[in-house]
Amino acid sequence: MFEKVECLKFREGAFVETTHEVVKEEPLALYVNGKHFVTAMLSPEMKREFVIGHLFTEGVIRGIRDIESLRTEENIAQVILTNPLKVFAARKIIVSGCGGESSFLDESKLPKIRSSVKIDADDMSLGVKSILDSPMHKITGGVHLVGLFDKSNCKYVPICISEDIGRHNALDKVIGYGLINNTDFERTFIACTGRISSEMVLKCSVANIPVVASRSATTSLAIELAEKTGLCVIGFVRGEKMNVYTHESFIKV
Amino acid sequence: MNERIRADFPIVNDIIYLDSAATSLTPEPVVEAVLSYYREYNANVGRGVYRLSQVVSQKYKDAHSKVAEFIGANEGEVVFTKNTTEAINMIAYGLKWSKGDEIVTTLLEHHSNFLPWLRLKEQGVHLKIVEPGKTGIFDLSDFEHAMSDSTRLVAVTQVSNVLGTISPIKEIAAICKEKGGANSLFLVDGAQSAPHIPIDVEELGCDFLAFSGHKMLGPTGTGVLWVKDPNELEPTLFGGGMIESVSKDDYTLASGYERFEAGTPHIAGGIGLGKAVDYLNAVGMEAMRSYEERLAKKLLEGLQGIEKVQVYGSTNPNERIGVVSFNINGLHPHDIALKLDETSDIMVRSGHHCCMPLMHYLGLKDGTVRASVYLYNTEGEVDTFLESVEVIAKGV
Repeated sequence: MFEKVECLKFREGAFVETTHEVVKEEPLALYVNGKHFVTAMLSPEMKREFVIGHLFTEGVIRGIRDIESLRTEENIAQVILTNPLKVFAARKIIVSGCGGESSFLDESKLPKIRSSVKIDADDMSLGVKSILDSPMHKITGGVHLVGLFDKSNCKYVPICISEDIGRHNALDKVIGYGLINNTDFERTFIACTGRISSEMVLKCSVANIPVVASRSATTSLAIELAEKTGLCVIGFVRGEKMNVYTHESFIKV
Repeated sequence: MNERIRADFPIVNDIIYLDSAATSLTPEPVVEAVLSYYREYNANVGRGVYRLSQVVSQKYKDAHSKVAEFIGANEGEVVFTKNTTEAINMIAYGLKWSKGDEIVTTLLEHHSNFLPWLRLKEQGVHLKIVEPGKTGIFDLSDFEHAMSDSTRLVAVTQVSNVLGTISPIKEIAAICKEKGGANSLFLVDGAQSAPHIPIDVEELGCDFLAFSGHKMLGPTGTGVLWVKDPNELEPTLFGGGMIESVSKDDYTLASGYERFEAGTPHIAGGIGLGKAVDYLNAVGMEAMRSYEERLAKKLLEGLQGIEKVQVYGSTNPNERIGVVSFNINGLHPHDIALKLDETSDIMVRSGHHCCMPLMHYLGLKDGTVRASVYLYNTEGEVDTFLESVEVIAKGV
């Protein structure tokens, strides 16, 4: 996760030679059926989960069964789909023309949340708190953390916590983990540290995760999209307080 | 095993196939995998940057990984060959031999694990041949006596293709390490075992394992050589696809299996073999082994109970797999095989089974009839076979 680098500290008008630990960032070129799909900059952990989660949230695969082969080398991930000739297009096309205006959104192409789960507000508060308290966050600080929470013995527990330089990557990684482990997303929620963007909303909606809760803020487009996909967006989860922006019906008060 | 498995082998609707020890039938998913290569992503491997080449290279590599995992090995150690014969010859040609080197092999061996060593006599290599008992069971002390500091290679089959008997490979490996020279190597011919018995190369304790894809539901023209230490062996073929770099004066070999696969390989076949391994894994090697044991027991006991029938090899079901050799007094093996085909649509092998030294040792001038079972055979088929043999025997 970290790399020690040389740096000059500026102190009292002079440079001092020292070393400092910085978060690792690496490119990962993802090829699907031999064709370049995307090059992502990400933290080097959980590459496999990232690839699976990313292809899923981008709509290239409908599940892990659509992948016949996945090989990851240092900076390259190669995926062969069960249909090696499948023509795929990134899901982004759907929202590329929206420009923040609702009139440009093609609702028929948006994913819709299908869930009847009721999650205690306390679970959400504890969820966000627990990822902030996780040893990982304490060590790294500054990187984004995303946790996927599932019910186990009547209690919500984190089944996967991921950290990444990008919050979208971190979200793809936990979704990838969920797919590998056959998680029923319908009853899960996401707790995260970063801002809830429209991209985060779309990823959760594609995966059918009904609730996303963050310690940080959200955006106008994220709320607009979540309104249409049926996702419950919660921001500023601090202590027992939180701001619920959309679809509060998933929260048990 | 069940009807769903048989549905993958359409040939069994028309005939009773009891010659899987020669070549197995090919299930539909394997046929489909081979066809889809030609139909959907036909290109060469490791030679292009374009999309199809990337796809096929990955699939071909994956096939190696699957086979490696199947035998408890690492990917770079598994080389695709055209069959067991080629795999064994790669060892005979790829090792450096010195005058006085000794090779220990046995009288049970198929010609493909015998002739390559016989040929090395010209180079001053001595051949020591361990004889099993007449039922195909070895006395381990014979291996102890045969091995010495001069032993360079021990080459033994895990299962006899004539008698179906299982050799004590782990014990022979231990003797090889103890009695053989410091550089002695152990080759296991797994042609008859890999398709039927779960194999872990580490457990076997060998240095090389050779087997055929076409006997384990894969396409013909596919085989495998597992090499524990690829640096131990010199490639036998040189050319495209097997180097890191070439200059006017020198070359550097590729690491891993690529160095042994010069030239365009049997790509569709290799991918088909990977699919065959998927198929066997899905069925489960342990489950298949116990199913075949049941068929083998029925076959063996049934044949023993028929008058005028001689059965060869151990009669202990724990010492053998479902490969059973027999004769009917007064009939030539080929005549028996022909009658089984003509009267009952049963396909069996007859003759010397590429094991002439063994046939000579057992005093079987004309060879034997051999029936061998696999996962797609049924108890009903074995019953039909036994009834047919009985009718033929009665007619003599």
